Amino acid sequence: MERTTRLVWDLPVRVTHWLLVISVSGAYLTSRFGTGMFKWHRYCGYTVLILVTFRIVWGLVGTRHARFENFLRSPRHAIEYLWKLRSTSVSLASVGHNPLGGWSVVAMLALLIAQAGTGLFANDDIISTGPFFGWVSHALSNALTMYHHVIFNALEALLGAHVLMIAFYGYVRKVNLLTPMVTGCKPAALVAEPEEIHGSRVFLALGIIAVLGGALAAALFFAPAASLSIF
Amino acid sequence: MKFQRQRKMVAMVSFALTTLALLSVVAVQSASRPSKGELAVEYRQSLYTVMSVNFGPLGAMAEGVMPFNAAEAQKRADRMAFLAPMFKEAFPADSNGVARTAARSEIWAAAAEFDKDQQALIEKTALLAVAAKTNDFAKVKYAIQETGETCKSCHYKFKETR
Repeated sequence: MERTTRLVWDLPVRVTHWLLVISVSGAYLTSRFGTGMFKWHRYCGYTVLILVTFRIVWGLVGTRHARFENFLRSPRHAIEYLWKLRSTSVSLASVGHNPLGGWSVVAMLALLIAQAGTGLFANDDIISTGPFFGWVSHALSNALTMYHHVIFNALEALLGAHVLMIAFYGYVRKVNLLTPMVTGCKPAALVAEPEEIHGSRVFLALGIIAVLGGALAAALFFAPAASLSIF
Repeated sequence: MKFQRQRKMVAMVSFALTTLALLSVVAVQSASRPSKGELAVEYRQSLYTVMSVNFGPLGAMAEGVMPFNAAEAQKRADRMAFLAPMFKEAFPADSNGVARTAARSEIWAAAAEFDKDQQALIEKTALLAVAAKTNDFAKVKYAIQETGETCKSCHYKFKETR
């Protein structure tokens, strides 16, 4: 029987994507819920940090289409692709990330890791701090807190653009990018047989997550007590 | 008289120099004395520092970083309640936009709203002082968090982020 779809996105990439949707939204919401709920903001932040770090590592050792070397094109390609989007007659299909999408992935990963990273050292001037506040001077923490707020604005814009673009592809250009990020599969007409992946290397992914989780847990355990009190 | 003209010259020049010297001393003195607006800024920043340092142990207890100590909590809470009403007089109109201030001009543009926040701080710190006397950590923790929220919500609207 002829297969109608081919596997392009492995399970770790898909799970990472949707867990990021949950943890990033969660981080945003819990930042405004009040001091009692603030520990959830930290937990969401840890999750984002581990997921993004994992994705970066996976971009080096993961399956074919997860690797940066396979979807990052020169900026010239990205701009050419941007012009292609204006026309309905040209095919926009690509196997993995298209040139424009590839660079937005990099931008989102960079901003997310910067956001989670600065949050580790931040303070709200009043009562709450990041877990590594005790490792930096108060002045440095204040600077990193400022970046944490600025990067949020950039993230809001970038993630908003991301969602809008997926909607644009789907409703205007009739290219469904949402389903493949859930099932992993794209129509066979768009994916040549050699391009298909044949497994998700789940055990490797779990191993990387375990190492990253262990490193974060150790750092949290050994960090000095973080408090705004001078006594 | 001998050297009549020269003596006159010396007298005029000494008089001019003395006047100049006195005038410059006066000018320097008034330039270095802070204006009322500058003093108000210094006053409230000092108050906020005292309040912040006293809130520190309370915040640490609420976050679980410092063990709960009823006597310490009461002492700190009483100080918070004592300090909170002092801010009402610390925002005169001539302190708006003065050097070093982190007070946004919205404080004077939306004075009614700012006054509500001031009042909220007075109320929450009063409640904190009352809660601290119960020696019940759950109640104290809740009151500390409420106070912290009041500080933060006012900052969010009225304090310049640096």
